[in-house]
Amino acid sequence: MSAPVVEFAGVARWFGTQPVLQGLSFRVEPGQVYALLGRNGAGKTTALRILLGFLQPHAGRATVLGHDCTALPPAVRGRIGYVGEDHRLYPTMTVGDAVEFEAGTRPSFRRAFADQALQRCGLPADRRIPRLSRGQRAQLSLVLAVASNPELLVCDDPALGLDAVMRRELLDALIDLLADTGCAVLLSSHFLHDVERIADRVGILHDGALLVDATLDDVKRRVLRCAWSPRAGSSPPSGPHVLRTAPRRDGHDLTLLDAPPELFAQLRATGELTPPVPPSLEELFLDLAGPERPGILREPLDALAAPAGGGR
Amino acid sequence: MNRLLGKDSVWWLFFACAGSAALGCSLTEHSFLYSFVASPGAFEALYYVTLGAGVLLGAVAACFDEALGTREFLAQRPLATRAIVRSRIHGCATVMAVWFVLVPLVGTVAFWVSDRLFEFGWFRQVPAHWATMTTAVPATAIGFAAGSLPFAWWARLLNAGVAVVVVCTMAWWIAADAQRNHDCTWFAGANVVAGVLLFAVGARASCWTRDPDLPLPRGLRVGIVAPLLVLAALLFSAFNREALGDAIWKLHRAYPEPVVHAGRVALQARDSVDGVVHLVDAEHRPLDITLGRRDTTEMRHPVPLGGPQSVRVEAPRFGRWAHTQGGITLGGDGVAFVVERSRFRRVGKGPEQAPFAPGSRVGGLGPRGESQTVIAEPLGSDLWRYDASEGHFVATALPDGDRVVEFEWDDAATDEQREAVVEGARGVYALRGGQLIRIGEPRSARTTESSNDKLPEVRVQDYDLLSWRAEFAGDGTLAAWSHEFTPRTLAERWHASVAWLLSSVRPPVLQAIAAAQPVRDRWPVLLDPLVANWRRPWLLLTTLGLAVGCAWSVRNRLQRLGADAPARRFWVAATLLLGPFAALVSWWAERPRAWAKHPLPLPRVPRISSHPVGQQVLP
Repeated sequence: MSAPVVEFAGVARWFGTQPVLQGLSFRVEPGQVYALLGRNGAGKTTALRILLGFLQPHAGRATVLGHDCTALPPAVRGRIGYVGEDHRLYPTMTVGDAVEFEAGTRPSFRRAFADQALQRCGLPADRRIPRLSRGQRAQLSLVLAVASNPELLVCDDPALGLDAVMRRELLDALIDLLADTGCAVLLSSHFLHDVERIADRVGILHDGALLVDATLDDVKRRVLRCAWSPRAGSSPPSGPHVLRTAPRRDGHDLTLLDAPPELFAQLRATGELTPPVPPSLEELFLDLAGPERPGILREPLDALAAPAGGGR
Repeated sequence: MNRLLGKDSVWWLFFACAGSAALGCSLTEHSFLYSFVASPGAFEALYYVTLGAGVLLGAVAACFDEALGTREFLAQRPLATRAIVRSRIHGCATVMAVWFVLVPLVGTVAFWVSDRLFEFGWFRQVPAHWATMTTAVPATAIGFAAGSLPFAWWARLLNAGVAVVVVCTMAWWIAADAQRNHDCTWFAGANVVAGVLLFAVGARASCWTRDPDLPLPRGLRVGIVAPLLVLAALLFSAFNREALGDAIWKLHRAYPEPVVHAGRVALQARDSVDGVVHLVDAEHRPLDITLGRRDTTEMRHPVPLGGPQSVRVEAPRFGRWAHTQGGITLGGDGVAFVVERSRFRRVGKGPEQAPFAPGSRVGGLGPRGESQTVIAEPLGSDLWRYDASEGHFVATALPDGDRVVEFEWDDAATDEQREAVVEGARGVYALRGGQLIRIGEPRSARTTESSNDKLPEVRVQDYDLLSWRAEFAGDGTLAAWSHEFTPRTLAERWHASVAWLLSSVRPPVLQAIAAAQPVRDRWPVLLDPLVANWRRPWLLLTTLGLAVGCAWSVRNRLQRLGADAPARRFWVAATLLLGPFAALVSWWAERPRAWAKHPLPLPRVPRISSHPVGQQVLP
């Protein structure tokens, strides 16, 4: 097993008296695209800022490329690309100046790659940064980050504030740019359809810890949704295999995790069951992090044992 | 470095251009004659504009990325913090270098446009401009250091304010001589040294980012907070000393004064409410005897106050002000100029136009008077009269080899009647018809006793600012008298208590230094005369006791907050040395650590995980 590019181990962080991260643990393997999902205020940006050394954790340890995030040497920073949510660039520069600046401050910067990519995006070198649209700024940030040939690309909600078309363009650009770099990506986003297109693995952050830390394939294989219409006198099922039971007009929508065949047989015996299908990422996210189930982590830890298999 | 400088070019180009223009224009506070030819003494406008522009330059250099929101965009690249800081300091140094070159030129252009007496080529005062402008070095460093501090905005501003007052005051006093004139070299040297130290502080402070939810890192505490704390404590001590001097002055005002009343020495006091003057007894209690203006005779009761040297954020004064009389301008350095056909010409003693001694004085007889303009050198044997036909000053010797002690003009009704009066060591002479005629005795030989000197004098014994013994030995008409001045009434005790209270909250280390000093007339601003020469040991013990109490309270608070042992040791030591002031700063700097009061979160296993159970990532 190769050394992880990113590893969070029990990271905790408070803001004032408010706990934001409470023992966050996950890892990103080389070449993996990891999507960190969560509701607003879940701690995604905090986790990424800790990773980049902009914030110190109060407990636990975060490492990137084998180095402790609290003291990243400049050389290690050079191996990380970063695209922030607000796409901050110097407003006093032109696109060409920004490329020059990047080339002058990052030894591994690929000038030809950047020029080509900017041409593909239709960004003229003499355009001043303040005159770029939000989408163009996002594209420029992405090009600059990827052109520095990073081993890890950190994107903090890069599509925030973009319309659907721009978002799609940005995503395509990201997929395009990453096609032959092979770098690992740690991405936070609210756009779950987009994440489904590019992520290998997702982490759903809730109440400062991960509810899900699994590959997308694994999630689709292990989580199933079905509609169940009970006969009179039957009550909805419960237990560690039932992630969520939502009422509907003629019964319940069930979201099941690692459901054994016996559970399906029991459901068919007590009512009518539609064929189980894997939920979309958005449906799973809402099932887990939805406001009506805030207490899912309060269940006893021994009931949360995860089955083996599926790891990359 | 070049890329970083290029990125910062917006601010340093702006400051180089706008700063040069502002500083150059500030020279027009005086005329061209006073700004470039003869010394105006102090360049006030240049000093304050330099100070403000410098602080602003440093602050912008330190906070440029923070203000643009690009701090993290910059911080995430493979650049050492040292390189970023170096480029910022490089930018500041470039701007200051541009100022030093351009400001005299901008000033020259400004005078060329605005002053009809402008004449190109006069740069005699440029060294004084440069010396004044060295204030830019510590000012920029203060802005840079304050802007780099990982504190909230208001705390950075507060620190900048404290540093400006302390550094400017120190440079002012270091370069000042007994007459409060300043030496260019000392002033510039003090500024440069302070600037270098503050830039170092700023560079160190840049290594930390602000995180109010974490305790101050050890390096920050020792490298940044400690020097700032010392600076702030010094300023606190200076202001405390001013307040202490004020309380002592009010106590002296509250004490009754000895007067002669009904043929004996008595004490009179003025009621603070109705202003009525009445006699008081030995306990300072009012007697039922109201006094009119003619009921008493004053006595001399010379009580020294021992006032402190005060805080100075003022322009340095490089020599005496230049003076112009009858078209002749004499600079403080003894070089004289005359304006002829709108051009300056240097004039001096004799055909060789030798300069006068520094400190010479010029006088003239008004509108008609170039020919009547005279200059006297201190202790010179000649009086120098300007001869317009010769174009230089000619000497008129004092009679009998006498030397100039004082030089003035008599109080004649009109300018035409006025004449130059020179007081020598052996006589007083008037300039009449080109000759010095003896008209009287020197002042030292005259009776100088004023009416005040004739008053009976009460001698002050065992003076120690708050209390003393007043003694009158008695003379033929008045009996001997003595009185112990010490706080007795409520008002007197209040003022004394304020003084004691102010003294007790001062830094113990400064109090200990002050206690080891002998009693003297004039006290440095940082030392407290109340405890000098180990008098009032109880006051010193109170100061120490208060510091120990505060240190104990600081230690308990920090322990409660979950601070580690080095943090506790630092603040306890700081409070013991600097007193309650440091305790207050610790209260601000060491905020509650919410995270330290909670148990560490239990490791949580994700509900859906792809890891095999045995490979879960757990802390």
